[in-house]
Amino acid sequence: MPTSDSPAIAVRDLWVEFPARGSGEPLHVLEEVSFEVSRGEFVCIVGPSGCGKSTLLNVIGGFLSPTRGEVLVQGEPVRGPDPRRIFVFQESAVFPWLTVAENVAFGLAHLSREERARTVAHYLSLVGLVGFERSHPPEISGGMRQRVEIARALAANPDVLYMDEPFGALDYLTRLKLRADLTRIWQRERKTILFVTHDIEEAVQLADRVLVMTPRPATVRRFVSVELARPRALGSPGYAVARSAIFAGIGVSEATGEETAPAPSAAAAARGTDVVVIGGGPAGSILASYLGRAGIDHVVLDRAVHPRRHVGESLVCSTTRVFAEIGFLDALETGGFVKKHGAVFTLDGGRRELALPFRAMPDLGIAQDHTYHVDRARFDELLLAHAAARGSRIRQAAEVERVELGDGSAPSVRVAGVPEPLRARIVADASGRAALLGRQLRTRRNDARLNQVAVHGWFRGVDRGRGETADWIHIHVLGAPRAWAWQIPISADVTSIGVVCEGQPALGRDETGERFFASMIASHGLLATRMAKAQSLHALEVEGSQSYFGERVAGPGWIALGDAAQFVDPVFSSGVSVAAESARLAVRAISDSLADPARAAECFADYDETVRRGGEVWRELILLFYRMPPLFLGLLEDASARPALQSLLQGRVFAADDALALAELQARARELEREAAAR
Amino acid sequence: MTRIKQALPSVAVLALLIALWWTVVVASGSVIFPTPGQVVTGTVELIRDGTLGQHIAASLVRVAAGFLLAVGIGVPIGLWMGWKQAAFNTLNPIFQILRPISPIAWIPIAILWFGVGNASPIYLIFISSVFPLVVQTTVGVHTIDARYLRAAENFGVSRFTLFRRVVIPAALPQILVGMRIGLGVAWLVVVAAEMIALRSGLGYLIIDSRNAGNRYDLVIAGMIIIGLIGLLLDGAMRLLEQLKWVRWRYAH
Repeated sequence: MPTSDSPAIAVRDLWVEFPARGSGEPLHVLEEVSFEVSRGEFVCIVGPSGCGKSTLLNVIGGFLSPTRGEVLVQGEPVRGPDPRRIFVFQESAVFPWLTVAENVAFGLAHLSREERARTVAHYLSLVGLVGFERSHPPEISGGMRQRVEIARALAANPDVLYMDEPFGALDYLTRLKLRADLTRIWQRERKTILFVTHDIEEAVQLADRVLVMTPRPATVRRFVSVELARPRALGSPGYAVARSAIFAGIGVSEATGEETAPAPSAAAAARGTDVVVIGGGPAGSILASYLGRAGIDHVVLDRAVHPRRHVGESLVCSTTRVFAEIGFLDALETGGFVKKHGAVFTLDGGRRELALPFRAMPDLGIAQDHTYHVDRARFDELLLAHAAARGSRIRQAAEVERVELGDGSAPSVRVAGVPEPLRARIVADASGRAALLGRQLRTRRNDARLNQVAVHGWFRGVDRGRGETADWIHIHVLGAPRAWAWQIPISADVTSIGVVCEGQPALGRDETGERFFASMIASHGLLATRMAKAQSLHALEVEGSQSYFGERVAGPGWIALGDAAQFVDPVFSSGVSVAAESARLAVRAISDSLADPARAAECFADYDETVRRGGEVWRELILLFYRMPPLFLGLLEDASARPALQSLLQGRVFAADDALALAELQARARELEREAAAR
Repeated sequence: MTRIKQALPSVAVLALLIALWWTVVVASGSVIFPTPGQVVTGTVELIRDGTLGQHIAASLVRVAAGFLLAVGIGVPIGLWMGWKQAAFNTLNPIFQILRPISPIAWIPIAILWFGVGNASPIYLIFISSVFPLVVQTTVGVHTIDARYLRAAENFGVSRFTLFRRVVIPAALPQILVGMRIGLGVAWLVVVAAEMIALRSGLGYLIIDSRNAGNRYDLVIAGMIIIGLIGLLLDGAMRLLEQLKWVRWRYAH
């Protein structure tokens, strides 16, 4: 991963307008395009034809000046074309009057004769054109001409390659071949590549990330990450998922090619909307999907252009209702996510094991008895794509500077680099653990009782156990106080393992985290055996896991949801549940208050109470577990306590009844505790 | 075989015309207008005494001088006008006015300025072929595909390299078109120029043959030779267009 401070390419708030011809309107080609590309990254730009992809690339390449905004390459503003950034054109721009070798040598006047010859020979062999040095371009095929063009570009040793539909004019098989070659060359040379194409297949095969543009006036609709190993076979499952995400992002049906979503316009967004959703994580995307279904005009401001990598998360069953309601369940079911049929708790180094198979929840309309383990990067992308495909306007790389609430009647949001604030009737804060409004309003409180820290990573070769429970989530209770480890299957061969313990500030430093992780794994006999052959897929990550809650999570003109409202210790996989349930409750509060502004205060007070109660139930449940894990797990074997506990662990925590169920459970736990003490 | 087949009709028509010419002359009993046979005898006579060679050489030298002068001046001006819009805006109207003026109309002025020596016809040839050269070169630069210029600009090469490696080669096919037109016009004009006050050249041969005893066999012999040499010059220019570094333009 690139580590430098300034991104290879930073596009900031780019607008391009062509002056009117005659008495007509000026042509708006690009509006408010912002995104970043990391060094060595391969980014494809796709979008409907005529949307301004090429214009964008020409502006980035310095061949066109934007009407507003700027492009920074490695922190420096682009003032014109530069040999450090070479442009490759669709219609081959190799010079037909020069030989193949002379073409490749074109940008190499500064080299000595021998060096030049060596460079030319190297790049011609790289693109497979040895033997054609003395041919003239018209004597060779179109595919070979594009190879010459690529060799000529690479020979100049640029940092960045801009490719404008370079394979567009070639036949299908030649295109396939050239994509494979380009992939191979890119893997070797690691240039930053920005590649415009109208071919979604091509984008999925080539890119690390695909930037999906809206129709004209074009803006960035979203990014789709393609984290598949290269070379990529057309038709592999991961490939199909990424392709679907792009189709959804463009707002076009894969089956019929028809538009499924209206074309959004950032300029329209600037004129105001009903709801501004800050954050494109699960809470924001789910809320956006709900708002879209309710026909409420909204804009999602997504700060993160990069997805969260290497975070695996388990869902709880109650979220199934939410996913069914927003029409996302099929995507989850067919998205290649590992199904989660239950939870296994292990104690005493694995000598004691308790399995909790999940049940359907018919009274919530949930027929299936399983939920999912998800790779958050992909899960978040799919959810956001889902919202986008259903008409949510999503502005990526939009960094919110401040929310102006005033008296709550006309809130607005200031986005970095955009002079005009975005006006709305309600601001929904789904900014995640940044808790934008919580910090601004100083309503965010840490829960001193739950200050945990997690050290985690992805591994290959983890033995997940045998039988039907192998793909269940495993919570291994460790010896140290409040310490436990998760075991979450991410795919057939990748498993997320994380160790959680009481907060220790030193863990973030140097290799303390790694050592701590190893010692904690070693302390649990069963886990140590399972991890014996595990290979780490990346450096371990240390993440604070301090639980917090909002003293208020809604007020005049604002509402907070998901992690922005509260964050709960991850032991019972509550994260996405809080996001999903609070989004579900939020949309009701929002639509009721928009329909009847006189009742707004009441709607938000209801929401505030319900969401905070749900969070409190989660936290109390978790504290009960931490107090004495063996006792807590004993409740699972207790006939009178088990149904309530199962219901809570499956994520039913937000209703008033659920709080009562918790209270009964706590009473039963105290009884058991007394009995144990008496014995 | 196919080429012979293709040429057959035109050879047949030519033969027919010659036969017709011969018949008409014999039938009318004209004493001044020669038969084809007499033209051939006259030509052989000219070759024998060496005057034909001298006349051809004189004409070719004048054409070469005027034409090369036109290339040397017209191509740079054309490149400049093609490259700099301001130069185009300034010079193009002037050239557009001068261009339609027949070179023949320049004869009096040429004689006034350059006298009756070699300079006058060379000037006329220059003036006749320089305009097509300027126009075609300008067109050549204007029609360079933008992607070639962008690519060159992208590689950050010097202005000199840009012209040597990109602008001139890219405009060359159009420059060659200008040269073909220019040379054709030059050959046309040399004959007219030599008809006045010169003592050599194919134009002089024709005028002199008529004046010195109505030798119409030599007049016609001169005309035919002018035609044949024009054909050869055009063929030579077409050969240039087959060169590798310009063929790309015609390949598609």
